[in-house]
Amino acid sequence: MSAGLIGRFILSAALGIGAGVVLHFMLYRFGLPAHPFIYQVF
Amino acid sequence: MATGGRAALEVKWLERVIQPKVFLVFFFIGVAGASCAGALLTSGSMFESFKRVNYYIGGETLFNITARQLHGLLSEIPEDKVIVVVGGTSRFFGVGQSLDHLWSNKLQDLLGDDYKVVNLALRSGRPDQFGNHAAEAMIAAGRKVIYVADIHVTERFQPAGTFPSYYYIFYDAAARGLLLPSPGRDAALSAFEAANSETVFDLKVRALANSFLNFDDLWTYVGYKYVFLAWSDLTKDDPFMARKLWPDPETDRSLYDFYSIADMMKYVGTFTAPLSSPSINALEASVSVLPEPLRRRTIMATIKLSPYYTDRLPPDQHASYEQNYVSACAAMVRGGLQVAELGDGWAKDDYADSQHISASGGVKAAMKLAPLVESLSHELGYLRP
Repeated sequence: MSAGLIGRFILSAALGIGAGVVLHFMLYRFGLPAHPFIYQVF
Repeated sequence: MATGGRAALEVKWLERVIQPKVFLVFFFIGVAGASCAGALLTSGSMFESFKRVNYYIGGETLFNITARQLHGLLSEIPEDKVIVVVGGTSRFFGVGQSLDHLWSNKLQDLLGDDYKVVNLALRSGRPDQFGNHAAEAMIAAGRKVIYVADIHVTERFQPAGTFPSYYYIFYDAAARGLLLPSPGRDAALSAFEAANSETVFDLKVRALANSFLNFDDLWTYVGYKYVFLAWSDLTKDDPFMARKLWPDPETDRSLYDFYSIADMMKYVGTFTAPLSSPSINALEASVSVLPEPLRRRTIMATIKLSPYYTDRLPPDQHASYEQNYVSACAAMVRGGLQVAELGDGWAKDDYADSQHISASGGVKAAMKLAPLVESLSHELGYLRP
């Protein structure tokens, strides 16, 4: 296996994992309310 | 064509840098890994020195504690202890009470080591959300549980909870299979969901997806422990600081001077209109949304308003205000709840404002509730007399 091929593999894997984690975070972030309630004593 | 050629060149350049199939496989591994991390990291309690759901670990600052995290918090309590879950409104949360004078700490002191009191009452909270769901999950797990919460006499129990910002916890807990069966709740839920179909759809989809992918659990955990990744105007002084590091901001404070008497009398006035028969019957019927095993283990508290305001009411309004408490308590008792009435004989200084309890009021509340908790505990066979 050439060094270039291994490098592409590692980069692809890293980017893939990174993108997966970012998607996972976006599922949480986009689900948060746009305007959280502000507690008022009354 | 020039455009097609350019696109083809870009794709070829990309393929020289990354391998698409490898990228895709590891993309799914990344999603799966994050999902597993969310499950593992919240299998126990993530909280450090939990006292109550303060402002910085509450919904106002975009921090929504998940059902799994609540379950983890309570599951770590030793099995021989009776878990006393405190739920309800900002009054039981302790607005107007610093941590040093939090009333539920006094309750813990009075009950002793056989009990573990956990304050899950919320600012803008209600007795039908969050605390009760956590209590249900522990009852379902076979633990010894007593649920103590407060309710406004003009309100009733709702199937997914009263305050919309906290609907999520019901659907989260339901998707995780943490709740007890409740035919009464299921019946009421149909009407609620029909009236709020769009909101409910979003909540259900989110809860279902989270039950598999654990994204709310993971990123709330990360936000609590390490770095909070959603900007909130209310934490702009240090928006990314781990939420566990924010101090509980509540202080022993009097809010009487914060509001005009005229404004407060308008608020107090909302408690004086006589409760109608349909309204009283609706409150009694609504008790059934709480599952029967939870009802048996519940002490529901009503709290009178501050005499600083109620003493200003004309006699007829004062009489109907008092009658409303009698009617509401009787309705809840008929529905199957044990009710504790707080506030009789309390003075202005037992309140932080018209409704919230001060440190001294908190002591009185704890002293009234502790023997009731002990009595119920013995009745349920949790502890030998």
